[in-house]
Amino acid sequence: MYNKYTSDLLLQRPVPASSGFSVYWANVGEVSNKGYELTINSTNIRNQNFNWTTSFNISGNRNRIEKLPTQITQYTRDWVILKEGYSLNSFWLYEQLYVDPATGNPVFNGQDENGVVTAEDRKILHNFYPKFYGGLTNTVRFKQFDLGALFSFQYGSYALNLQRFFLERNPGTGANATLLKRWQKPGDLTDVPRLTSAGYNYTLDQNSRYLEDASFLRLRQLSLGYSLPESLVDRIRLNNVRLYVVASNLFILTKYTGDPETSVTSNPNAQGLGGFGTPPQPRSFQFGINVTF
Amino acid sequence: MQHKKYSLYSFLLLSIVSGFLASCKKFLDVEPKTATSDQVTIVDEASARTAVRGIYNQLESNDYYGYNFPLLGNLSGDNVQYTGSQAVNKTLTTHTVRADLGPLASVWTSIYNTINRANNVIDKVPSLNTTTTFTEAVRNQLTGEAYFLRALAYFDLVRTWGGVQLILKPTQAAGSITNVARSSAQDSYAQILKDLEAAETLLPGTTNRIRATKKTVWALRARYHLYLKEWAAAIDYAGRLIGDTENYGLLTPYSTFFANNASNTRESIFELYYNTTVTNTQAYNWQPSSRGGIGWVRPSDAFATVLSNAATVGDRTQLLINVPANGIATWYGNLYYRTNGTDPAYIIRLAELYLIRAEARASLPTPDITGSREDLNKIRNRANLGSLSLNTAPELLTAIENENRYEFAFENHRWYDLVRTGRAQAVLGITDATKLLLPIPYSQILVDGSLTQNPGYGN
Repeated sequence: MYNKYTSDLLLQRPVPASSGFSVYWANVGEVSNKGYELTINSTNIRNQNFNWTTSFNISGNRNRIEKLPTQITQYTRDWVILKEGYSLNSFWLYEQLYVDPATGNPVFNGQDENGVVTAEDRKILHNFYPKFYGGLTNTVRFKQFDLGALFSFQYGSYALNLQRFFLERNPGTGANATLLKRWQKPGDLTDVPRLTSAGYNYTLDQNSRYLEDASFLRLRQLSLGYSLPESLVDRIRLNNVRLYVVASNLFILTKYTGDPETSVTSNPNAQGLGGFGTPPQPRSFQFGINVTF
Repeated sequence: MQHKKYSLYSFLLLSIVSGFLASCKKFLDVEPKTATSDQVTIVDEASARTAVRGIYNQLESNDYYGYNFPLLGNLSGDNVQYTGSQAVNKTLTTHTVRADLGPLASVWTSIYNTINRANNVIDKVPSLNTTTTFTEAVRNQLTGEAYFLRALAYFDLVRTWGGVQLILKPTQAAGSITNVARSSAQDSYAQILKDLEAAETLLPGTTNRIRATKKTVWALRARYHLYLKEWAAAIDYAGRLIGDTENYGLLTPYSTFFANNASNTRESIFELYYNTTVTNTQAYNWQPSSRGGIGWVRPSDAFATVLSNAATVGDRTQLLINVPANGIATWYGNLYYRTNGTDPAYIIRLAELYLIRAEARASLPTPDITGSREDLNKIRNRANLGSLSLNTAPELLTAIENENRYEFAFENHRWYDLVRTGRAQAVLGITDATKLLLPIPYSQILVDGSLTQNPGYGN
């Protein structure tokens, strides 16, 4: 368990541009981090022929910007924001409530009777940090065989799917498969608006529709090995010989349309912008042999 | 996982930082940058000259005359359309722009940066000691240029956003920024006139097309008085440039002022000079990919039809090129074509002075029909079009409006012309009059408590 309070964050603080300057570096801002980390290692069964151990770790962290004189936005289109009272890496978006089944136009929270939204209607919605995350490792050894499985998971994280952003509103540069369920005729119930080259679907970049739940459970690694019996190894004058196969990223359970662990930027204050054109982590298989002389 | 990676980085960073702490304590005692003394910035002739060049440098930056400022006006009018990937820019053309549009903030910031640079010169240069080379005339000239540039910057702010915060002193330090309320448009224009008058007194009567002189001030004053509907003054100042036939003249054919890598032509009164190190992105944004650009800014389809018709616009068809894009013949603007980024930014050309005088003459309480028609036909004849024989002020004003549209097709005149003449709503079909001013950048509203938003864009 920990409770950490950080003050004097060094940030580019915005100033009124009428001064001739837009930002200056200053020690502004205070952030609190509260959380826990827990690791459990257990040996479930241990005997001559069978050995099963489990390792489980889980962490949770909640951070909050306790003090910040002015909000600071990050990345192009100001998708990510630092604001007092909210977590770091929060998203600053227009909230799309639904797609009007009659017209196919998106309907935003705060829009007036004419469907007009203003910058005042932009809201902070969710943030990049998971509520908890961790991993689970199981190792089983039976006689000459060994089996290992590593799962990792996170829950409660959100990411803005830039792949969808670029390819779901502007098919000039390519088209996302989600376009297939766009609004097409009166009565259609969907969250993907009609395809136009005007109107808010096309000309409003900070749409909450692209914000997706990035929680996942992933089988990061599965390995199976076989070690030659000692008697055999001794006879060919070796110390140890192990044949193995390792599979990475065999499956992932997630609601995110894409790989929830990709990002377009390494800027630590603009996390949660899911990759555009970034390939997902590959599923790979390795076969190998370990020989110890 | 992510957090573990950070903790590793922070550990590395911590080791490096603690190394510094141990080895060079003095390094950390240096005054922070926000407190750099202002006493050492403009102290002699060389630094004064550098400071003035610095104002021009900001004036021609990409967020001001280099690209983004003309973009705001061009897209707000009906001559130009945006076809690029930042589709949100189309909201300027549809007059549904929101206050968080990116270029609004970058242009605003860039203009005020120009103003602050001018404020520094105005504040410090007049009190510098003269020398044999740094004569009073040189000192006056440098100060006068700063007054002119500040006037131009405020003029661009006011005609885009309405009355603004008038900052007339240089910013000394981050802590010295004070709250200033917006002035009315009227007061802002009054301040601009003060600066123009100061510049007029200080500047020499020489001819220079890339640095301000007394003549540059006259040209901007002609435009200023036209905006304020002070017809007699507009006629007077426009006439001073038109009458200077030794130094200024209309060139034929029309394309002479820009084609074949021209710059500094006799037609130019004020333009900004770019070279391969100080570049702009106009050509890159206007030209098709087959000619080294990305073609995101293009003539609107309706306007391309008009501008490609020589019977209507004469030689100004030279502003267009037709290039296939994905197999479809497509119109592109060709005023900016130097893809090495050296197209001048054309701010005032002599042709504008003729049309200013034509409009002012037709708008007088007793219209000068003949004079107005002569000025208008001068521009038409140069473009290889026949003279019009119009006999009433309303007919002339309509013809002048169209002539302005063709003559300055891609020079960011159209939107401002329609707004100042009260014609924007009728011509562009804008139902909501609040959309005639652009919204104050939302980021500025948030960071500056004394800055109020224009009506029609939220609170």
